[in-house]
Amino acid sequence: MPVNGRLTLNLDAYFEALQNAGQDIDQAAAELLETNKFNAAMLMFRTLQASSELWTGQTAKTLFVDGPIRDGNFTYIELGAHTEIDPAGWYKEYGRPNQAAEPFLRPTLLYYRKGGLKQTMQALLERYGLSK
Amino acid sequence: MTTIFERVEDALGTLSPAVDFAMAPYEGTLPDLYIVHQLIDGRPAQHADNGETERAYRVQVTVWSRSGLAALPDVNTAMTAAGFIKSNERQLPKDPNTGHYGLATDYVYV
Repeated sequence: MPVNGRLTLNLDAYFEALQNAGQDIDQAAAELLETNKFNAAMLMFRTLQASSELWTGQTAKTLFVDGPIRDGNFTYIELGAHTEIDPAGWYKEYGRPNQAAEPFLRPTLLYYRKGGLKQTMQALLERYGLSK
Repeated sequence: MTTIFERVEDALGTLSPAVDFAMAPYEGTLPDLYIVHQLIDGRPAQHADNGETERAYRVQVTVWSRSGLAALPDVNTAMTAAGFIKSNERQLPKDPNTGHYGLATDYVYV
């Protein structure tokens, strides 16, 4: 079962500005997520490395970022660890009975939720010559 | 000032009947039923006059039980009574070494 999350948050005003300017919202969402895809993977990797008491790199090999994926009006990327390959991602993210968690996914999602996506969206608007 | 860790432990201390709990990792012989808590993230939530006025904490509380997850202590009532907001909850894989089932719940405190 992959550990994953979705990034869709608090960007309404930015998309509204794009829509009012006659831009393609779906294309903008895909562009936003494509721009963030590599950064999200690197942030996950760095957080994993920084929080690991003992670094072997094994869990890092199971990290993934897929997308942008379109499902109707819903455009998203998926990120996480392929725990069906190696359960270490589960153990790192949530801990074990005698092992504390060393979370890497939730801090990554929180970074984007608390401002990372808005910064990218702002840059995207500026590219179109718009403001929120 | 009360720390986030004190707030969590005060809340878990109200469970009746009492359940062993500790900040993760639980050390020593593992009981059949116990709880661990851990700070996942703490970051400023509001600023005013160039100063931080609010901080949001995300805490993971995990119940580990060898007898499954059907009958667990009412952690949710204890935590929400202490001002925490319940967030994501997930069942963890049964641990092959200790035989514990796990239920991890995130709580947010602002």
